[in-house]
Amino acid sequence: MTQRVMRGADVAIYPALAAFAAPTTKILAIGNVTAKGAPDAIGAVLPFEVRATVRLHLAGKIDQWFFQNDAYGVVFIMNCDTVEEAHELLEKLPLGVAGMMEFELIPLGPLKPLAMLLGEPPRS
Amino acid sequence: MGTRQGDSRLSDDANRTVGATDTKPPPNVADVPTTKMLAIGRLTEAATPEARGPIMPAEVRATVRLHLAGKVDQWFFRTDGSGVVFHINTTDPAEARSLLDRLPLRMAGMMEFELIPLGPLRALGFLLTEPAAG
Repeated sequence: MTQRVMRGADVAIYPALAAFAAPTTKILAIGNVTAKGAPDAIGAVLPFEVRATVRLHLAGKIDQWFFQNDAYGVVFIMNCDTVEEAHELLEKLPLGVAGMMEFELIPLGPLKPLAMLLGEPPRS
Repeated sequence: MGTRQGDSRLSDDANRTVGATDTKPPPNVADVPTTKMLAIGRLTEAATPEARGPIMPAEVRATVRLHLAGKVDQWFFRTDGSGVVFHINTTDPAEARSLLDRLPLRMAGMMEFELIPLGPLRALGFLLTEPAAG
């Protein structure tokens, strides 16, 4: 009975998470302008950059896209299973080719700790 | 180069180190509003499996409550196990910080968040010029 009362804080629940594999389903790509991307240099490239970006969206590779207002960069959520695939796509963007933007890539998946809520529903 | 410093930018109040801080948006595209906050959570060294185990049941419930309250819009697990990524429905970094600071792992010093204000993809404005005639 004691065990049941303590269930909410039971350490033993936590290792059960290990049974759940969290697949990588998205890659978070945080892009920031490099020193080469000075305003006068980057301006000429941006019309090409945006078109290449829209093409990646239309190809189903860029799922979500955002602008970083305080850093003049971008954030993409990409439909890629691997960092390598995302990197390959992003380095071909005009700003990447010109060395004017660098991306940090973070593999993402379903929020694994949600599995902790999957115990049997309480009996009434 | 883009010198985003790995550790410093993850500390709570660190000013984010961005490569070209003097970079100003080129003209001829309209500014965009901040519409949401990206929160990148990283487990700290204090968050050993043994230490965070007892806290996780409360952490996941608090996270689901933030989702049900309409504050955490999207949630992801970092599949290298280093933390989480949230999209938060607020335009105010202070509000996002306040919400995240009340999460159990955060209160226990086991999680740090970097916040990045996000808005619509500004460069789409380049596509709005009328096509050339003829």
